[in-house]
Amino acid sequence: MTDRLLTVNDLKTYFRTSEGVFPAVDGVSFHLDKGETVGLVGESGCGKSVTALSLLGLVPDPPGRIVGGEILFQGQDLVALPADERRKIRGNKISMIFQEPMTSLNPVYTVGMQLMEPLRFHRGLAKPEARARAIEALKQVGIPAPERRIDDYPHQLSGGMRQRVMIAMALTCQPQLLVADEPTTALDVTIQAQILELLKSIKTTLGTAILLITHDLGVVAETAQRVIVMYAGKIVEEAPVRDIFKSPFHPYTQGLLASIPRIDATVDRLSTIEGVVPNPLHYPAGCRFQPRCPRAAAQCVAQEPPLVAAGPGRRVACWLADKGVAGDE
Amino acid sequence: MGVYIAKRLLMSIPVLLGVIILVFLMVRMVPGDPAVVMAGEQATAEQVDAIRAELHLDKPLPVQFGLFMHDLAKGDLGRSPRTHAPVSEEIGARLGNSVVLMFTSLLLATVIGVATGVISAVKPYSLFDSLAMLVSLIGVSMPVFWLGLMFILLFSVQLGLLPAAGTGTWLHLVLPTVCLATVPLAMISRMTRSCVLEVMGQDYIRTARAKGLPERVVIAVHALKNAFIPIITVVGLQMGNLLGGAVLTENVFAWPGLGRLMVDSILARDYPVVQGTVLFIAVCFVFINILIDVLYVYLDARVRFD
Repeated sequence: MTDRLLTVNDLKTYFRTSEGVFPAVDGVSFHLDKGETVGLVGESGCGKSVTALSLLGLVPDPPGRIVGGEILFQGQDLVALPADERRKIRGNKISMIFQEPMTSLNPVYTVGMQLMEPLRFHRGLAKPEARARAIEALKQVGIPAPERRIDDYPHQLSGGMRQRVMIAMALTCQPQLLVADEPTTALDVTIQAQILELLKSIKTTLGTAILLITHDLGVVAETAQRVIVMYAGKIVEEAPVRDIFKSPFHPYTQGLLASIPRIDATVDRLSTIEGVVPNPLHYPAGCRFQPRCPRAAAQCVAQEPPLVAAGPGRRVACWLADKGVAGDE
Repeated sequence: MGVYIAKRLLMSIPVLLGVIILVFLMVRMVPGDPAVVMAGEQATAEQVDAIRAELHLDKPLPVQFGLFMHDLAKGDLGRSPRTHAPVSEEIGARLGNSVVLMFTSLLLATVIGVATGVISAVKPYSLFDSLAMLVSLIGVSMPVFWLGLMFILLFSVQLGLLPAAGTGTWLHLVLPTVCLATVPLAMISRMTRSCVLEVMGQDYIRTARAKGLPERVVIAVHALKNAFIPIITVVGLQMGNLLGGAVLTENVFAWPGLGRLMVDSILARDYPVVQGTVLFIAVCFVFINILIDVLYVYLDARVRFD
């Protein structure tokens, strides 16, 4: 039995809109161990970011709300916690970094002031001490001359630098869990690699568990040990990272992998998944992927497939997965 | 910082020059002979000529302008043919009253306007928000002179609580202040609401929440400083408006300020005073704007490096 840090059970986060209820996260269950990096993958609108915001208790309410399930963090159910208690965990034991480093820092305050805030509120540190720790944090994320940079305003830093500052800010209180929502999407490729390298080193030096949310399977391959694939508000597949690239079970995962261009093959047209993501207000009957699935059978339309164990550390939600149709090597 | 202010001052020179030319031409383009009007109906031709000569109205326009600029450079705005006092003295005698009224109104409008705007923005579409915005909509569209008369009717005539007109005690200040503050208050509260609402949707507010800061810190520290930039602009513009634009309020409440001086001078065709007052208010406007621009630098570091 490994050290379990986070267990999410049947999490449901719904949004009420004028047209109806939008189940952004619809019965999601997964876990995270201490010091582990897990990739949460899926296309836009599949519910991966809302899952992340739910963990932090940052779902905008109204219109969103966690309507069911539990989030057990170190044995404590965060969903049941009063707002003030949840706030004390945010930025302290669970931190989050976002996709948009350019706009995620407050433009009218110095980097240092923003870095010191979590230390002053969660740890009650006095200014000089918090400042010393903030400089330390900047050094840790590889910002040159942190003693000077700490007094800079965000607009004086590049995108990559700002994302480093965001990471430093998230780490100031040494959280057990870092939720990274597309941390490299807005950055150019060389900076992406540097940020991923930084996240990896954080995992080894601080032992922080990372939930890495991305639509980029390449990012996952480089950093994560396990992968969770989401589609239309549900988990469709979960597997160790090596297995998912070698033998994906779910037709959606297979489609995702097939759409990545390969360096060793010449193709005229990139492979795509047919169709579009279904309207969340009117999900199709049965399996939500069924209208786009090349192998859909009668059962897929009639019944929704449950997420079931499929080998060591693997789960899949597909009627066809255990019939040997999926998973070609 | 000094360079920034110097630049802004230099940039204001063409604006001031334009204002001076406009004011100069405005008075001279009014139909009729100012000298005849000023001298009154019983005046003899000699008296009219004397006034005309005193105001240099017998000289060609470019010469008049040259003389006007020459006097202006010495800080001389001319003399009032009505009271024979220098225009600068006339303005000086009223300025204090106008400034007092401007500050009390601005204070009232800003404090209450910002407070209601923030509360409305934090809980948008709540009962408080709907009520506050309805009231401020009425406030923005309220004719000031009518409001002033209603105040006098209610608080002075019916209830006998407050003096209806004039100056003297702080009680005299209450009705003009409230009356003058109504429109700016409504504008500031609506502006604050929309600015704070917009800022609350920004990514850095989400970051502040993700850090686990209490909501009051998120609003007071992270949202307000950003929202203040456009709010300050509105407050600054209102400041200029209140100084010169208190014409209606000052007249309703017989408040001896610049607005009233201007109206009295227009009615008496006292053109040097009209010219001087308009020019003075315009200059104040320009300097208030520079002051606001300097304030931006303190609020937002990005401005400094432009």
